[in-house]
Amino acid sequence: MQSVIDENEKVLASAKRTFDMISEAMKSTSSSSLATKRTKIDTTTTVLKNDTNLSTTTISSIVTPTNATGNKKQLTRPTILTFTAAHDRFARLQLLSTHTLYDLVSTLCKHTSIGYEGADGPDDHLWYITYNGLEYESSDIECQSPLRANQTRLVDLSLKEGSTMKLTYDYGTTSQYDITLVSVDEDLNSQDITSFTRNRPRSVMPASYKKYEPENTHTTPFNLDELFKNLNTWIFEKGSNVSVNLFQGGRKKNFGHMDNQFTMLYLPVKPNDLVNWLNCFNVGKFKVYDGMFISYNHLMIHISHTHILSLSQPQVSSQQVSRRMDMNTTLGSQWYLFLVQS
Amino acid sequence: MVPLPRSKLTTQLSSKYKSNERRGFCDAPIVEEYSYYKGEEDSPTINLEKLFPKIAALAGITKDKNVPKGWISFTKRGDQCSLAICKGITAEPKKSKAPKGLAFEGKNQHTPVEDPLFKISGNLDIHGLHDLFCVVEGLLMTL
Repeated sequence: MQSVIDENEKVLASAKRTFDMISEAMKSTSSSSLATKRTKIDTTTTVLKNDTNLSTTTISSIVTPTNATGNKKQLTRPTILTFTAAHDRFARLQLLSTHTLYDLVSTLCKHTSIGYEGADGPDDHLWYITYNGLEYESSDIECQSPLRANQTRLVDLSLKEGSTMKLTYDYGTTSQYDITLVSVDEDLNSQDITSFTRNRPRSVMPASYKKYEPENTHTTPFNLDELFKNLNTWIFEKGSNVSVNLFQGGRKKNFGHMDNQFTMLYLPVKPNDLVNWLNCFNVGKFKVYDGMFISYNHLMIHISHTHILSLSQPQVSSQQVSRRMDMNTTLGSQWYLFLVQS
Repeated sequence: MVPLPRSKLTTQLSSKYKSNERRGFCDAPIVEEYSYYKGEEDSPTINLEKLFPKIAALAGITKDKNVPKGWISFTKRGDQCSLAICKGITAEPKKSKAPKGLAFEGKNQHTPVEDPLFKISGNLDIHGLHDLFCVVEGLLMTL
């Protein structure tokens, strides 16, 4: 019994602290910015247990004070929470503390690559967020935890700077993403509250920066876009989600890796100079024929839209063959027809 | 795709990357020198090391007392671009189940351990390869 009393006292003390914090926040809020919305504050919900008896104490206070003119005041002002994602070092997701875990994952899906080909949304698969050993699930149907992400506000999680949550996206897969709270900002006065949720990627441009313009050393204008047209098109026109890593990463035998979700390019050796560096990516991938080719015994016949281009081995990647059809002739020879996409 | 420059082609490279190829496919094309494709008379020799000296130093082709050896990481998601210029060592990638000898082998090998030299995103005026090189050169010039 004594333990129950002690627990009750703790709860009341916690409630009082919360109420004091709210009062302080109200004092610091100018009357002009007070909203008229009635605010319900669930200060604490605690389940007290002892060996013989299960009792529930819910302390819920609805406080609706009024200002001098009789208008109702808003009690709580949300804070701005900034999160980083381990899988996207540029992302800095900003939400209000009143947003839910579902909002957080939704923002994560919108601004970073999640799931298959990095394009999945919060409703494409089931997922859960693990924090402090508890799992908050995406759907309304309970799978392995009674906690729901769309009913859990960020403020309810008692997050601190440095707190990390783990998103497990799509049950049964190993897709896990770490989300870390990096800052809490209480100053919302200069912010447009409707701009949340948002991504404010890190950006540090040196003050002395000036875009470089190489001097034309030739009579004709020098432009890398023209010199390496295929590579330029591949990066800037063909893919909507492209990553380009150019030059050697650390000490690895990796001198460049590019991915536009359709094709990957990997350079395992160091070229002699910059021109040939870019040339490897420009030519390696893009010496591609569009059309179809036929394999008959050991003879390869490549056919473009209008005419036969070559009778040798066509340089076509296995990724580009959209369809292969096997055909047996009456002579018993095996024919293959490959349809090629550029 | 794993392009292999002919000037650096070895038996080991060839067997590693070309042995997986099936007849009719070319996943590891051998790339000739730049002049082979352009023709000497059509395009005079271009010295990118002279035009982009800082980038050449970043690539480890030349030396520059202010520019360390490193790499460029550029990402484009829709209209949003991000650029990082990194140096130092890279984080070890997770073990991949992807077959060896393909472009998957080079995936996730450019994650820096230390903070990048520059990390820019958002309103980047990069609409092409030329812009990318000019922005990177401009940033490296501030070092």
